Amino acid sequence: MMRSAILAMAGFLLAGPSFAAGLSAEQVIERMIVTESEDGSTEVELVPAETVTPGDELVYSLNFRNDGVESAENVVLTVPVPPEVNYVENSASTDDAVVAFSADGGKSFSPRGDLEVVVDGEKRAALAGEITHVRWTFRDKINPGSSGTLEFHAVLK
Amino acid sequence: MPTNFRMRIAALLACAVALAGNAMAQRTDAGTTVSNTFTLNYEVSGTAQPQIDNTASPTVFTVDRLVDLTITTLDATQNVAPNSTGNTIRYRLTNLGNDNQAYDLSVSTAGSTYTPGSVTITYFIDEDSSGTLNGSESLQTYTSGNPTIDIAPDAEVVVIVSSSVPAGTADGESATLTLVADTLFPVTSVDVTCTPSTCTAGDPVVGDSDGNDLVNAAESVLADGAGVTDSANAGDYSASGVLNVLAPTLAASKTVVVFDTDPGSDAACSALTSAAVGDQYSVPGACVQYVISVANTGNGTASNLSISDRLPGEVRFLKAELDTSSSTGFDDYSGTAGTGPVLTAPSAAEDCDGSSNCLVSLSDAILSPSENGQIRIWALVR
Repeated sequence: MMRSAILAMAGFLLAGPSFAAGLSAEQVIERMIVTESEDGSTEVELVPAETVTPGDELVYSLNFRNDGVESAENVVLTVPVPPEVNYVENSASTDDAVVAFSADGGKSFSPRGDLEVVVDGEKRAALAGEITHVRWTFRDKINPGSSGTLEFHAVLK
Repeated sequence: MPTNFRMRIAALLACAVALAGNAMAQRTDAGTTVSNTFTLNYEVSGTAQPQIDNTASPTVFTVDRLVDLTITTLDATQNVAPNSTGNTIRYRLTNLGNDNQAYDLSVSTAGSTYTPGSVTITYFIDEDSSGTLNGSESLQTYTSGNPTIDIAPDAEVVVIVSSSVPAGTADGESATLTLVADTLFPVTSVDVTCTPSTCTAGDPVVGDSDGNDLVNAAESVLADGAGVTDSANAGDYSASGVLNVLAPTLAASKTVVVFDTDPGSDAACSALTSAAVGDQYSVPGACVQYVISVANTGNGTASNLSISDRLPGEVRFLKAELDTSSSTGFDDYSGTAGTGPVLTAPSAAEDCDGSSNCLVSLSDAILSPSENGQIRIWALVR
């Protein structure tokens, strides 16, 4: 009872009206336009993904921020990898959180190196294209005023 | 936090990323809406908080129409004969995009030294990838300027171009037949956002600009490579086949040699195979041998060859035989029943009248390149 009253007070004191509990997140998906210029260098431009061509590489970003007065603990972010895209190996952020993967529709998660699938009764290592979910578990609390971005890349089939 | 932002990063990409060009099939259908979500769970002071997610309003994007195709020539350069018809070249056209497409087909003969005649196009969807029409596959006729039937993503079409070689085309001439396919909108698209106003069946597919003008509708992206006569990213492709003309070059001659001034009898003359020693003269009673010699100095076989010779009234026909100065000489013509070559001559010795008898003829024969064929005729001068 006391705790929720404090939380309610904290919410009332917030300047921003959007997110009452303080922690907020926004998903942004962009596609990469890769251009090779004449001098041999490569330019990568990111544009919002509105229409995407098969073969295009996409950047799935999750921007988070804590606008509240309390720290957010045990933060777990889960992003499904749609069936129309293939996860790009080694593209998931690893700085702020520990990343794990699922290849069984989100029922179980493992580090990439331990991820397995069962095919015709036999277990084998999961391919990048078989990943169904990416999950980040933050190592530390997200303190008030903190923000950041987690991302991974995927290619449209 | 702004929802739209652009980042320009000039960098050398060290890792190889599988971008467009991945040969895997099962591309996502044009017009598909891809839905993306996330869930965020956390606690405050040990108490679980309500999940944050975007399930009520997922982030979505639409899959573009990828236009890509390739043509490979299935029949290597072939040899053809002058005056031949129905010479076919097969090409394989593959739809490498993610929508049903129709195609405009055309054949260019640029680069040819003779003009192929009667050029016609037929095609079929090669379901078993065999290159030949079989099973339930059905052959379609193609009318120039019209679209083909709809071709599904990853389907292979075998296009057959048939042509004739004009009579009299010389040995060494050649024709290059280049098949060009241009991508058209299909009758039935897999893309639900493709309405008749934006995708008219039979219209050429044009690349849409990168300005994302179409909201929630698939754009068309032309990603084809460059074929032999077309440019990349133009929605078309081309490949060539070659027909080389091999024609025979025949030189015929007729010579006569006196074997013996006085052989003594029909049988004695017929038994001679060369001139007797000493000077021999052509006088009444002399034994002579006519040799009709045909040489093929060209690169093509002379087919359905026939020769006919009527001996003059001054001689008496004795016998005729086929011979050669090369390895095979005249050979059988498969287009005529029976085993050739067939030498037809009087069945017995006869005095020639120069008009109605003593006819020696060759039929059901061919003469291959580098071959020489001969008809030797023994006769007595009367």
